[in-house]
Amino acid sequence: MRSLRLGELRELLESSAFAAWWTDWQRAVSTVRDARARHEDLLSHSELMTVRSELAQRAAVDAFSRSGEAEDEGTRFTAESQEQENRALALLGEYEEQRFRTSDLWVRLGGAEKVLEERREALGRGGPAKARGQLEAAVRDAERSHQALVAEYGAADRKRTRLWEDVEAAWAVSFERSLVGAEHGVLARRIRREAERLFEEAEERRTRAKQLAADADTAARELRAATELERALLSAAREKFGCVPGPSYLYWRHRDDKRSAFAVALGDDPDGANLDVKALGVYTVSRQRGVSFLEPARDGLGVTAEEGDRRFEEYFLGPRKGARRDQEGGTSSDPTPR
Amino acid sequence: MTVDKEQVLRGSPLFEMLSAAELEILAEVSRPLRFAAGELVFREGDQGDSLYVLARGEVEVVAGADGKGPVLATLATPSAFGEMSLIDREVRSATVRAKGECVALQLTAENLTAFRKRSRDGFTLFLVNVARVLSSRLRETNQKLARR
Repeated sequence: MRSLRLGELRELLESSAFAAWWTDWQRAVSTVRDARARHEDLLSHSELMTVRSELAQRAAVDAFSRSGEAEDEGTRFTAESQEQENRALALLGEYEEQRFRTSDLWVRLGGAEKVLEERREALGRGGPAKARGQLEAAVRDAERSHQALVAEYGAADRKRTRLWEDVEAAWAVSFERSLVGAEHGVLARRIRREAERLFEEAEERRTRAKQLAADADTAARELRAATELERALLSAAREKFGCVPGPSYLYWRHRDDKRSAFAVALGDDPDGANLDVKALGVYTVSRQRGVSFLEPARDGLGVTAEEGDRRFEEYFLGPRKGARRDQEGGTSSDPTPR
Repeated sequence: MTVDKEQVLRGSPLFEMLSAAELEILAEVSRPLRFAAGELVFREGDQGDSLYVLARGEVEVVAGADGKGPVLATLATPSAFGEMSLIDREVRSATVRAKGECVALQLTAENLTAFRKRSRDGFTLFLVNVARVLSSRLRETNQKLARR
């Protein structure tokens, strides 16, 4: 590490060699910063895309499962509807039989009424007593037959009505089940389409995540190369300018003070140890504390007379009071008086 | 008769703690002056831009510019004198006269400035020694005043 005076250090910092190095350094720092930002950005995007792909895949599997459930439900309703339809058809057969039976009874009832009327009319026309007695017995017999048929017809007709109601109820249930089954079928198809879309999306995101991961790898290589260039520039600074390069400062020993050194900041640092550090700012640091305590290097503070500080000479060698005598007294015994 | 300037300076309280290299520099820039008995080294009221380190013999510190006043003190080797005016830039406060034949090393403000350029720490120690000597004199004065 070279020992310099402040003036020499300032001259070095203003030299064209250092200016060229500084331009390269700033470019390298900027490249590292951009590469790091790009790498972090791509890495986070890649990880985020992987997570989103997994989420889409999970949602797709879930949707696919729900689609199957909806399909099963639709199938169950359709089967129920068919079952009710079959039952309704069976009931309709019974109903038809009952209708025939009821119609037959109706015809027979009409015949019985006609027989009853004829016998009553015959009784009304009168006749011999013996014949009258026979006619009355015939009327009573016809009345019994008629009443029996009335009762039988009523029962058959009620059964026919009940059977029709059962047919209609079965049809209604079949209809409802059919509607709900159809809706479940539509729902199942819709969910299935959603599942397929989600599977495609998951695949696209997986592909995108892989691409982003590859880009992140490229950015990581660029970052390593940029960091390497930074290190190479610091090594070059050591060789060219005789400094000791740290991560954020270049150091030179203070020629007139063995216990301190000059530190030149390689970048701005508003949160510096004890002051707002500016890029290319020259600071004085002690051997023990280093950059944990920075003092701005000033002309005239710890600087020798050769560097322009004349305060001591102005005081010590300035005009003095009293009579000036060429020789205060005595004879020089030095053969080469100074 | 030659004077070992470095040896003289080493014996003076004004140059305590200085390294051999620093004493060598001072010896190099100092000038030995020879005084005959009764000869004035400097007068009261003179401009004071140098100090003296007595190398041989004795001197008397006398009140008054003509050197005929009462003797205030007698100094022997390795005493030094003249440092007060050198530091505060005031005029000589008393006359110094050789009591017998004597030799003193003269160090001017220019000599000391040159020394400072070559050794900051050495010069600082020299100033510390001046302060110590002046402090010591002040204490003695205070004690004398207290005894009165």
